[in-house]
Amino acid sequence: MSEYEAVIGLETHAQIRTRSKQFCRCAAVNTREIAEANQHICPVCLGHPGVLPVLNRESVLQALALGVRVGSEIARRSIFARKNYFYPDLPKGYQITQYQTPLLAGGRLEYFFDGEVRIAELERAHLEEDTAKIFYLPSGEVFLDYNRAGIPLLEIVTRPMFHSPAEAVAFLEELRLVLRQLGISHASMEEGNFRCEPNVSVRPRGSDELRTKTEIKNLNSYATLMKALSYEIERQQVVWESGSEVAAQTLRWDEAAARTVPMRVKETQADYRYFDEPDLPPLVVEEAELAEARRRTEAAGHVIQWAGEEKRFPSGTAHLTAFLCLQGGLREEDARLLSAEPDSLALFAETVGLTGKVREAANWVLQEYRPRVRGERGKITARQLGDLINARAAGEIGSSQAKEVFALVFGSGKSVTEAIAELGFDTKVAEQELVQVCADVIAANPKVVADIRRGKHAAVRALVGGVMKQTHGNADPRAAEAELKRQLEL
Amino acid sequence: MKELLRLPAHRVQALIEGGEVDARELFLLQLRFARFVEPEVSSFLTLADEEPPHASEPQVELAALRGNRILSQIPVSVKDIIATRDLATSAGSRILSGYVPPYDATAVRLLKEAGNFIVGKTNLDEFGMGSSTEYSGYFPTHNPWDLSRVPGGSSGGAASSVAALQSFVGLGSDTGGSVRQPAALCGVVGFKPTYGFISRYGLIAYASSLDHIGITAREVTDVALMMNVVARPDPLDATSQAPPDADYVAALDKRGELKSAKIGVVKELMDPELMDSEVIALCEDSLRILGSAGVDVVRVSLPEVRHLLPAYYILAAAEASSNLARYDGIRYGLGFPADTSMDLQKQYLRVRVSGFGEEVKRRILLGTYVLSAGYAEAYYNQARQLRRLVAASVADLFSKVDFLFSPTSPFLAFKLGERMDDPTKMYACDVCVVLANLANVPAISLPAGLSRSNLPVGIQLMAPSGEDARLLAMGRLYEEAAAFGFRTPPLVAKKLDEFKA
Ligand SMILES: [Zn+2]
Repeated sequence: MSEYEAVIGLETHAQIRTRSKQFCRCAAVNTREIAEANQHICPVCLGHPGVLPVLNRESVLQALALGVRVGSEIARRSIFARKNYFYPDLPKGYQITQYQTPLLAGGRLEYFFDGEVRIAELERAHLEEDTAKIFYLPSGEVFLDYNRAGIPLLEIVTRPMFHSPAEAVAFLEELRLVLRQLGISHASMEEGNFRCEPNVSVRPRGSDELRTKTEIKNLNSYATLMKALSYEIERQQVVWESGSEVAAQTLRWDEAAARTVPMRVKETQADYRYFDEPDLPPLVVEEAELAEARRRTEAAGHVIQWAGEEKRFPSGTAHLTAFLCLQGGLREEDARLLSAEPDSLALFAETVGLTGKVREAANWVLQEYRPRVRGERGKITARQLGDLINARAAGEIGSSQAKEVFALVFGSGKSVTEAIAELGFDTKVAEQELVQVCADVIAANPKVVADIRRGKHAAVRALVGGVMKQTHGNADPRAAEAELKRQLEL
Repeated sequence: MKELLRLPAHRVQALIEGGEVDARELFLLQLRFARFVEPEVSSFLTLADEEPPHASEPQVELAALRGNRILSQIPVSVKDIIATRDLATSAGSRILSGYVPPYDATAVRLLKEAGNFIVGKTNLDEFGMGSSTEYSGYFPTHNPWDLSRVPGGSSGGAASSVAALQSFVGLGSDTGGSVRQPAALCGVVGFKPTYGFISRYGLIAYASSLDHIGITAREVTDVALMMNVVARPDPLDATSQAPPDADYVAALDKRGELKSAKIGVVKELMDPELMDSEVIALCEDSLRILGSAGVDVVRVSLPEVRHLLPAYYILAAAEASSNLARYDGIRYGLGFPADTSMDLQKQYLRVRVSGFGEEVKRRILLGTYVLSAGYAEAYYNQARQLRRLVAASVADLFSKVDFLFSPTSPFLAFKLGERMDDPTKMYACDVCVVLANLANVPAISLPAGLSRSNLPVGIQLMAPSGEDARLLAMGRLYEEAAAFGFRTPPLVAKKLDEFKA
C-alpha cells in the first residue's frame, strides 16, 4: 500500500438536450447525430456584428431538474458572465457562462462503489454554451463546424474528493445515468456530449492537506480517463518522493506516448477577464419553473412493485442498487445493471411481483432479455416471464427447455403454455419424473450397472433404452443419459 | 419641389398623405441632392442606388395596431453601425470592409415595414468611438455650418445628413452622447431614449450596457413619429423593455401640462471653467425662454460630475475590449488568404493590427487592462460602483425636479484635427452627455441658436428613466417657445439654390 493517496476533483460538461441552441433559435443538433457541417447556424451563433443572445428557458428547466435531484441550492437570481479568450472555435471571442453566481450551488449525489453507497459533494453547476468544432487536416488546414457552437452546456463541478481513478469513474457513471434518466443529456463520452476534465493532487495518506493540483484535458473515454489519472497520480508521487514539488499545470493525455504532457503555458495562464454579460438580464427562476423541475425529477425516479408494496427510488442507480442487494439478495453487479436500465428494471420488478422469485427474475432479465432487446421494448411481458419461471420451478420443463421456450415466446406474443405445447415439451417427461424413472431403471439392471462400473461406459446406452421404454418414448434421450450419469456418478 | 427638402419630416409626410407629393419622387429627389452635397460634407459611407429600393407599402397592420401616427414614406439615413440587410455595414471600420449583414436590425426592419426609404449609411467614428467623426476608418465628415469644422461624433454623419438636407431623419447610436453631441454641433435635434426602449438587435456593439439607438431629426415631432415606429418590445433583445402602448406623438399634445414643471440646471455642468462662455450664454437665454413659458427653473448640484468621464471611459472600454474580440477575420469582414505557415497568434494580429484604427486599439488595450486580474478591482469594479452612485444621485435629483438641464457640448464645433492628437481633450467633449448613459435616463439635445461665429449650440434636457414621452413633450414646448425651428446652414441653402431637381 502506497503512503500517498490521490485527491481527485471532476469538472464535467454535458450537452443539454433542447430543441434549439442556448442563445439562438438554431436547432441544437446533438453531436451524436450526424449533420452536414455548418447547416445549423445563424448570425447569432456565428457571432455576427450586432446580434444579441436570448436565453433558451428549456435549458434552465433541464439544469433545475438536476438541481432538484441533487439538492443544490438553487439561485433564484443568477448572473451570466463573459469569459474572454481568443480561439477560432469561439465565434464571439468570449463564452457566455456563469461565474460568480451559478444557477446551482452545492448538492450531493450518491454513487455505489466498493460495495457501499458513497456521497459525492458537488461544488456548483451552471449554464454555458458550447464552442464550434475544429478539424485539423494533415495539410495544416483547419476547418470549423459551427453546428456545435451555442449548444447548451451544463458544467458540473465536484469537490476534490475521489481517491482513485476507479472511484472517479464510478461517480461519473452514476452522474451520467442520472443525467440520462432525467432526460437532461445523452451524456455519452464517446459521442462527445459528455466531457470530463479531472484535477488531481496527491498527499501523504492520512493527511487532510490539499497539495498543488494539475488538471488534465482532452480525455474522451473512461479508459483514457483511467489511464491518464493513474499515470498522473504515479508521476506526482515520484515528484514528491524525489523531493521536488508538483507544479500547477494543465496537462493533456498523449495517447501515443501513454503519458500526460503539459499544455503550452499560454493556454494555461489565461486571464479570462470575466465580467457580467450586459446583453442578458439576471436569470430569475420562476416558481412555475421550479415546480416543473420538481415534476420532472419525480417522474424520472424509479417506481417498482415489491412484495405488494410500491417502492420509490430517485433516478440513478445508487439507492436502488443498495435496495436490491440488501432486500433482494442480488449481486452488486446485477443490481447495478438493473438499476441502470429502466426497461430491464420494469420487467424485473413486475416479474418479481408475479413470482416472488428475485434471483430467477434477475437472471432471466439480465441473461436472456437484456442481450436480446437492444433498446426495443415490450418483446416479452412480465406475465410471460413469470409463467416461464413458474413452469421451470414446478419442474414442468428443464433448464435448457426453458431457454427454448423463452426464445419462442420472445417477440411472438405466444403464451408460455402455447410455446411448451408447440415445442412438444408438455408430452415429454418432466425433470422430476425423469429422476425417478432413472433411479428405477438403475435399480432394475444391476448387471448392466456392474458392467458400467468396470469401465464399459457404452453400456449406459442400454439403461437409456430402459428409460425410453418405461416412459413410452417420451423422455429426452440426452437428458436421460445425463441424469443416469449423474446418478451413477460418472 | 426641391424646397420640400428643407421641411421637417412631419410636414413633408402630411403633404405625402394629402396626395400633394409622391413619396418615391421625393425619395429620388432626396437621393440626388444627397449626392450633390456629399462632396462637401461626406456624410455617407454608402448611398442607396438611384432606383428607389422596393420599399414595401406601409404595413397597415403596424399603423392600425398602434392606432398612432407613425413616421412613414420618409427618406431616412441609418448610421453605419446599424445592420441593414443587403446594404454594406462597416461600423466605420476597415475590419468590416465589405461586410454585408445577412439581417436587418430590428429598428431598420420596423422603419422599412412602416414604408420608409433608406437613403444611405452615415459616417461615424470607428465603432462609435470618438466625438468628431475624425476617427472614421474611411474619411472624416464636415460640419455643414463650417466645412473646416467637425460635425461632432460619433454619429457625425447622421447629424450632418439631417442638417445638410441629405435625409429628413436619421437613426444614430448613442453610447456616451454620440447622437446628442453631433446634433448640437450641427443644429438639429438628437434624442437618446431610455435604455431598452429601442431594440439594440442589429446595433453593432461598442459598450453594450451603455449602447442605445438614438434619433436625429429637425424637430421634436419627427422624433416622436420615429419613436412610434421603432420603440417596440423586441424578443430578439433580452434587455428590450419598451412599453408596448406608448404614443409619443399624442404625448406632445399634453405639453401644456408641463408649463408648471420644474427644471433643475446642473450647476457643475454650467461651470465657466469647463464650458465655452458663448455656450453658457446661449444656455442662459434658453433658460429665460423656458422661464417665460412658465417653467420653474432651479439650480441643482451633482458633485459626481467629476467622476463621469473616468467612469464612462473605463466601463465603455472594458465592454468594448470584449465586444470587439469577434473581429478575427475568420467568418466575415477583412480577411486574408489562408496561410498554413502562420501560427494562430500571427493570423489574429495580421487582421486586427491592420483592421482597427488607433483610437479603437487604444480603447481595446485600456479595456483589457481594466478587466485584467489584479486591476479589475481598482478600475472596472470601481467604475461600476461609480455608475451606481451617479444613477442614485440622479434619481435623487429627480425626486426634486422633473427635468435636468445642461449644455449638450461644452464647446462649439472645433476645427478638424484640433483635438485628434490628445485623447483626453477629445474625451472632454462628452462630459455633459455621458451622464444620461451612465444614469440610464432619456435625454434630448435641442437647438439653442447660433454663436457669433454662426455655429449651432445645443441644450440638453434629461428626464427620469421611462419618461421619454414627457421629455419629448418638454422638448416640443421649448421648441415652440424658442421659435428657432430648423435652420438650413447657409452653405447648404446655397447648394440647394444651385441644385437642378
Ligand atoms: Zn444560431
